[in-house]
Amino acid sequence: MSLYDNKEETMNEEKRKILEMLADKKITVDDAEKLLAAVSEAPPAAGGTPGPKYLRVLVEPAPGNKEGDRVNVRVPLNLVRAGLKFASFIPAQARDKVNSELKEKGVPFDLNHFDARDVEALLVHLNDLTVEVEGKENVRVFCE
Amino acid sequence: MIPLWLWVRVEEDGKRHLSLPIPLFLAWLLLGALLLLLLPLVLLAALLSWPWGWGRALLQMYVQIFVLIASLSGLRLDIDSPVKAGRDGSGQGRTTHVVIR
Repeated sequence: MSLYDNKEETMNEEKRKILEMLADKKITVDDAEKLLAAVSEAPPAAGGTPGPKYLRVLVEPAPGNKEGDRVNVRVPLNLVRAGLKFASFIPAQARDKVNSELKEKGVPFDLNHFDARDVEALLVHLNDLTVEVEGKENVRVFCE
Repeated sequence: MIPLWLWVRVEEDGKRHLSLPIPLFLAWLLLGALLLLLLPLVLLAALLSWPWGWGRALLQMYVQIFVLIASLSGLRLDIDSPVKAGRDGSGQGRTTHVVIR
């Protein structure tokens, strides 16, 4: 059994306890909701595998290209999260305008329904993405 | 942890290496003083705009500035340029590192 399975099992056990407490009317529905949210968002237990801390972007010249620059960018994921949180401060009217512009450019991204979970999903989907740019250079994006 | 130093290091083949530590904490002191001066104005603006739902967002944005600064720690940029021959046939490879700690 892997560490991930152990963590899942512990989380399910905690969720079951919360639901039992709700069934016994020891806690209210609101309390249960808050507790379930807290359990789902809890950081990995000590000794468990820590989550990724950095977003890495590597730009390397393609095998035949000897003149290309090598670029290595390491961005803390907390910085990405903090930056993306600023999106929630965009006024509603401006958000609609941004959404329509994004849609026009072929990016189906809705800022009105953008929250912390979307940020995490975005980061997960960015993990280990490799893009080859016209055979000149390879761009690799991953989390570590 | 708030980043205190910005390190810029440039290594060029056949030349002296340049290593430049820039004290970010001095900039944070100035920015901190500025944000502290702005705090009463921000609080007033938040209070006045609270009925329209803007006050909360304004306060959150103010706090988010500190979060953004604290998150800068660990940012790193490395650029490695290979040897590029000039008109006279000469050329140097250059490596540039920028690290925020």
